[in-house]
Amino acid sequence: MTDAAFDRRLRDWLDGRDPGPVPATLRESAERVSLQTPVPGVSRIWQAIVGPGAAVRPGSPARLVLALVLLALLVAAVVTLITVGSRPAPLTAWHDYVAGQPAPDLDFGSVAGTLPRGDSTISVDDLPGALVVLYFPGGATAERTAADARVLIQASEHAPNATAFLVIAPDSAPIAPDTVSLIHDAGMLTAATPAGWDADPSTGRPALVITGRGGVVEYVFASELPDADQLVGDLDRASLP
Amino acid sequence: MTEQIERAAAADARDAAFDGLVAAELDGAYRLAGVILGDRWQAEDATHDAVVQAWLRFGSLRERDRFAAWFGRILVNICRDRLREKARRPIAVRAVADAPTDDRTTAVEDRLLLDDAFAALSPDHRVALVLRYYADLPVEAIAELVGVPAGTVKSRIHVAVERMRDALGADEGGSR
Repeated sequence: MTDAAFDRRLRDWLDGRDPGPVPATLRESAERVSLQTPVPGVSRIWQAIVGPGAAVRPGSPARLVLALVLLALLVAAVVTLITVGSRPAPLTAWHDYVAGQPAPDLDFGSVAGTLPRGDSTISVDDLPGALVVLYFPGGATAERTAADARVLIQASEHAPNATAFLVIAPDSAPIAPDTVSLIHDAGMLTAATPAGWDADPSTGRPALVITGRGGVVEYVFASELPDADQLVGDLDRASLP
Repeated sequence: MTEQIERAAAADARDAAFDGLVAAELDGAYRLAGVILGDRWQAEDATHDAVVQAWLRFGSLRERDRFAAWFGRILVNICRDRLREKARRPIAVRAVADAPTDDRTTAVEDRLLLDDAFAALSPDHRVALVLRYYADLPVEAIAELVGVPAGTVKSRIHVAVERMRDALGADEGGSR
């Protein structure tokens, strides 16, 4: 292969990775940034004092003193926040599942006939001592959801004992009936997201959460989910005491 | 009151200027992030993060006509951080998993070989390769964008290209 031929092939391959024009959702969210993202007051004050590009300009002693005072106030605020603590935000999305933290006590609505004992809702707390795999398709395409479901089904065949798989779809984007059938046939549960649940408005990307037997979140994946072998490996690790 | 009105007008003008500058760069930024990260979801996230970071630091940008390069630097840094973060995860996922599938110009097997070779490169090498062969930037521009000397960029590009070429077995039975 000549240099020119390789060069062409490399460029073609890179062009093939090009995702195409920017999606409308991203354009809209980018347009909202300047409206919805407040510039921190400290930053505004800092810029008002030292001016733009101050890092390459010598500042006056008075400005330096003011900057140091601001820095001290900022440090004091951070220390106060750490000492006093802060209230947890309301549970609104899969982002609330944080590795190393207990799973949020959140009830997902059942889809008729899919939950044991006819419960109307289900949460991680309802499955004591179990490994729980929560899959959120979000706004993924039907094909992507079906592919992810197949990975879960494949993994479920080799998962440790007492592993529960829960597929949670928003009412606004229900899972295709044939995929739901596959999920149920494999002994996995489906549920609906609760009212007020925000399916990641910026991307609607899928996510996967694994909680250990003690109800603590072990792994959180977004967008790129593990394949079946990797998922089984994760479950094995999560099942260890 | 007049001062307040002037301040509000200045803030509106700044917001409008930012929105206009971002709108002009958004498409290219998203595509570049997509090529570097190989995942359109991650590309969306990275681009959005870059817009937010740019907005938060916009007041420190003295020369608005340098916005494109400045924004590009923010985006590339975010992409590089994401690649590094991915490398630290306990589970590695093939970059091809969510890659666009409309590449009809190369054989599937070759594409997979290139995917694997690219995934094996370090984040710095990946970024350098994409900026040179996808974005078509000269070495000096890449050096400015990633904040390293031009010699380092040349070395990274050379190493990356050689590894990609090796992946295709380009040295076997062919002239160079």
